[in-house]
Amino acid sequence: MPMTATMSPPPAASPAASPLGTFTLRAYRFDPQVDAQPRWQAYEVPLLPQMTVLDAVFYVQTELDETLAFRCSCRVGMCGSCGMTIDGRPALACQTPVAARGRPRRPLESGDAAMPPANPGPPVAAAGPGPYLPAAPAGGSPSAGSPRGREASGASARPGPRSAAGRPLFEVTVAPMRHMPVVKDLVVDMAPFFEKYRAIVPYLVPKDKDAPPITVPEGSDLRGEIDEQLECITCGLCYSGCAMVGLNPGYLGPAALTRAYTLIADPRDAAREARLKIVDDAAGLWSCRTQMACTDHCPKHLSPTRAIQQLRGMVVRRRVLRALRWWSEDE
Amino acid sequence: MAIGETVPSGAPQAGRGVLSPRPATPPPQRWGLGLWAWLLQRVTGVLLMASVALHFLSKVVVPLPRPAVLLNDSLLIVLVVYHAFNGLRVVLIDLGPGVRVRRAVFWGCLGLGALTAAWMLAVYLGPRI
Repeated sequence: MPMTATMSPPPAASPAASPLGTFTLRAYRFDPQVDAQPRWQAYEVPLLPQMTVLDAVFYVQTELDETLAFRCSCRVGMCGSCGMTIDGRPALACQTPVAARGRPRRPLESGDAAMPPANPGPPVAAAGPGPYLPAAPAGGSPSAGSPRGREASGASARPGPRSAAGRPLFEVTVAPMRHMPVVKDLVVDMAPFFEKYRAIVPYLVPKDKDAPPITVPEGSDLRGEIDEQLECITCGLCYSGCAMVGLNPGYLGPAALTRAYTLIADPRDAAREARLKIVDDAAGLWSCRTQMACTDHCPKHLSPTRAIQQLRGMVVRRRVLRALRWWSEDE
Repeated sequence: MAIGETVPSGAPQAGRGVLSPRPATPPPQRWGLGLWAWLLQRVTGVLLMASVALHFLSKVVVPLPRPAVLLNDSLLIVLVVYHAFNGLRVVLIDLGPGVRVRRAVFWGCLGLGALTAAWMLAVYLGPRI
């Protein structure tokens, strides 16, 4: 298999050391400008308390390999920039603790194999390992002296008691989101996602610009169904996780349909009919197979499936009413 | 450069990253319950056509050997029950409440289906074997 190494020299830092041990971060590497094939690259990363996957990729970029590309912004799950496929599941890197091995929304628990102590204690004198590392405790860490650049085989990197040889505690794989072209490594071009988002006219079209705005109170039933769908941060994880987007690249996808629903159900909106026409299509509402991967993976706990079902209900009711009206007029 | 060899970078401390012998493709997406249920619904749907056709043949056109009939009819029971109970799950999702409690609905329907299939198989096969 052709392999291309596009690494620049990593900084000559002292060996990575953490009192909690290390884990393997296996990253998807691909630069379409240079590489013929994508490849996996494994890094041994020191485990830190409450470490997220975003912390880990930052560590790799800062300390080991500055060529690793990823996208992030807010680091607190608000911007939706750091979406990745973590251990095979779409998730925000900044919201995924490495100790939970990529399981989204699972809080760190004391029973986790790699759960760091709640309070690891004050760091001892820094040995210059870099900004992401705590100082090694006196006597050295279990990982000190382990060969850097060691092959981390899949079988030996599973969670479990740390072996005497000081192998990594577990493995986390990071890959780009699916259904979107890779720009480089973990960065994808989200154009297909946003093109579909734009297709449903994702903004409010006021009914009468001169009229005073309609006030919809917070507790109103009108907002009840929409409120829970308004928190979308357009991270693209639902789109990445949806198998139907993979099978039907023309499918609008869960995020666009959820946004369409919030606008269609909004009494202030004037583009209801036009928007319903757009989503009432084989590549719209009717491509959803209610597999609910979008609902499973949404970092904001929204349910695009529910929004799509609501839209389907609206369309079916309208069709039935139209048929009844046509039948009664015919009589 | 051999697979698994340290990536050369020219620096004395280089090579904390290693090339992996794993295939250079994105990891397969882990399948959720919904995807499994969807796939099994399709698979059982297709198998049902064959099983029903065989059942019809054995009853109406040409008698099949007894073991084949028992096997096909048992399979038919399992397929019908899964397809029906997963269909019930989909209806619950379509009506709304099934989305929020999707895991409970999935396992509930699967459990009820398993009980139903076990009872039907016992009633069907009991007197015949």
